Amino acid sequence: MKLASHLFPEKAKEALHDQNLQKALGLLQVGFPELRRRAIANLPDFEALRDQAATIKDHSLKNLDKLTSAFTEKIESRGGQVHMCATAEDARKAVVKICQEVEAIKITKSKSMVTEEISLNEAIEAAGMEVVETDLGEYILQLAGEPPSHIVGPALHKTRQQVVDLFKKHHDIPLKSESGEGLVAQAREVLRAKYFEADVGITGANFLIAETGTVVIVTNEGNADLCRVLPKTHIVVTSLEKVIPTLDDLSVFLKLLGRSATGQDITVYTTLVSGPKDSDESGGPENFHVVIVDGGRSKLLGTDQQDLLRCIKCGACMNHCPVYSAVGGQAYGWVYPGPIGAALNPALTNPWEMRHLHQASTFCGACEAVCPVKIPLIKMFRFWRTQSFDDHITGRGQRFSLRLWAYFASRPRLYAMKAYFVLPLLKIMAGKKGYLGHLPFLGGWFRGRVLPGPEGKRFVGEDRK
Amino acid sequence: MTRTETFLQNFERQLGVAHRLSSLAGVPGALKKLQKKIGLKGPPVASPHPDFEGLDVAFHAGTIDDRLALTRADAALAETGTLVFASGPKAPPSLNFIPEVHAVVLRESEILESQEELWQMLRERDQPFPRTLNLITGPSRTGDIEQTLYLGAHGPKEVHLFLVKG
Repeated sequence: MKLASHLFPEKAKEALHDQNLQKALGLLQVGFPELRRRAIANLPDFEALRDQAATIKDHSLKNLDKLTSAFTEKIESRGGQVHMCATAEDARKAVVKICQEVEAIKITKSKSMVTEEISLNEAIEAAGMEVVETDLGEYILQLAGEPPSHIVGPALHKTRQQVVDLFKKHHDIPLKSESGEGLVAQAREVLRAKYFEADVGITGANFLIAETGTVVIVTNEGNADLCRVLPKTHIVVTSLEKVIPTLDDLSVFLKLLGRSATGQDITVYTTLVSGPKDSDESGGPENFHVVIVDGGRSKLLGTDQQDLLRCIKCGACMNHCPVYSAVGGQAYGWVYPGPIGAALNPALTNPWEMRHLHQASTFCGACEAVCPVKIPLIKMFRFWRTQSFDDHITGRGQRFSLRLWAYFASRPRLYAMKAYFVLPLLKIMAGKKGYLGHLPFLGGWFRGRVLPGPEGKRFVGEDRK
Repeated sequence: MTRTETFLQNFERQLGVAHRLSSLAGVPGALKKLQKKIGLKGPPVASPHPDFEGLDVAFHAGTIDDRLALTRADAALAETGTLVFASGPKAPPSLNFIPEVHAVVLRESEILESQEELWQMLRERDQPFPRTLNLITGPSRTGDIEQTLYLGAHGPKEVHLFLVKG
C-alpha cells in the first residue's frame, strides 16, 4: 500500500469534517467495544488467558527459527510449498510467479492485511490477471478504489447509502433492494460466480502451527473457504510472526481473538489447512503454497520493539482509541491504523514517514488495557517519540521547547525560582476570570481550551513544610 | 447441564437450528421438510458418507446451483456450539460452504467438550492430521454494512443440525 502517513494532520482535519465518516465512526464506538465487554464478562479467566497468550507469543518469537523450520518441514512433507520472502518485492514476485505457472487468468482473494501491506493486487493486475476481493468490506473498497480503514471491518467508514451507490454504479444487474439484506444478497450473487471461475485463491492466515504444519484462517463470511476450496491452487500470504508451537496454543488465541475483535466466542469459520488435497480426497486445491513475508519484522526480534510482533490483528486497540474514533483509519495513511499502526508502522516502514502517528495519542492507555496479548503500546509510543527527538525528526521549535523545559525540569532550584516569578505573573494575567485564554507560542494548545490561573500556593514546597 | 444440552444451547445462540432425531431413520423425513421449506424441486446434494446410503440425494462435489447440501460432521464442540468437519475421500469440503442451506448429521456421542479435547483425539488416532479441518459455528454472517448483522454473506444462510441419539 502506498505510504500517505506524512499527511496525517491534514487527513485528520478533513476526517473531522466528513459527515458520512463521523456517522460511521459513531456506530463503531458503540458497536465493537460493547460487544467485546459483554463477551468477556462471560469468560471469567479472560485476564489469565491474556497473560498466557503474551507468554506463548514471547516464547514463539524467541524460537521463531526453530518453529518456522518445523512448520515448513511438515507442510513440505505433505506436498505443500513454503516460500520465505525477505521483502514485499520478493513476496509479490513469488505470488505472481506461482499464478503464472498455473496460467491463472482469474484470482479470488479473501481479506489479508499482509497482502495490502505488500500491494499484492497491483502486482497481480500489472501481470495481466484479474483479482477480486471477496470479503464484503474489501469488495466494497475494491469497487471504491480505496484502502481499508480498519483491519477487521475494512469498510466500516462507509455508510449503507454509499454502498448502494457503488453497487448501482459497478454492477450490471439491478439492485432489488437498497436494504442491508439486498446489498448482501447482491454481493453474494456477483461473487459466487467469481469463486467458480477462479484459477487461484489467495487467503491470508491468522496463525501457523509448527506442531502439525497447519495454516489457520478465520472468517465470519466463509469467503476464505470458498476462495481456497474451489480453485486448483491455494496461495496463503502471511507474515513470519504468526507461527505458534501447538494446537493447544491455538485454542488460547482463538478464545481471545473473536471476543476481542467482534465480541464473538469464536468466529463462524475456523479453517485448519495442512496441505493440498490428498490423492483420494474429493475436493480441495491440488497446489498449496504458503508465502511468508518478513517485511522488516525480523529486525525487531531481540529489541525493545519485539512485543509489537505479538499482535494477532484483532483491532480492539483501534476500537477503543479516542483518536482513531475521531479521525478513522484512512487518516493514518497505511495498512495498520490506530494504536498498533502508530507503534508498528515506523518499524516496518520508516520513522520519518510515520512521525505524526505516535504523536496522535493522549496516552490514555485504553489500547493497552484491551490488547489481548498485552502489547505495551504506550511504552512503544514513548520509544518512537524519543527516537524522533534523537534523530531530529521532531521539528526545531518543538525540540527547542522540549530542551528548554528539560533544562529547568532537571534543575529543581532553578525550576522553583522560575515558578516563583512566573506564577504571580500568570495569576495577574488570569485576573478576575481566573483562567488564561492565550499565551505566546501556545496558540495550538489554546485552540479549544483554556488554562486555569494559578491558585497562589505551589505543590512544590508544600511537602517541605 | 449435560454436554449435549450445553452444546445445543451454544449452537442455537450462534443461530444454528437443531432437530433431534431418535435414529438415522429420521433423516430422510427431516431432509424432505427442509427441501419443501426452500421449494427445492430436485434432490439435494450430499457427501458420499455411508450413513447417507439409500437417501434420495445426489452425490457430487458442490456446484453453483446447489441450494441444499447434506454433510456428516465428525465431531462437535460443546463449549462453543461448533461443528467439526475433516476432509477425506467421503467428505468434499466445498459442500459445507456452497449451499444456501446446510444440513448436518451428527450423533450425540460425537460431541466433545472443547477444542483441546479434539486436538487430543486427533493426536491419538492412528492417522495423519486431516488435510483440511473446518470448525463451523453457525451460519455465514457479515457486519460489514454499518455494523449490522446479516446472515448468508457467502456461505450458508441457515445451518440445520440433525442430532441423532446414541
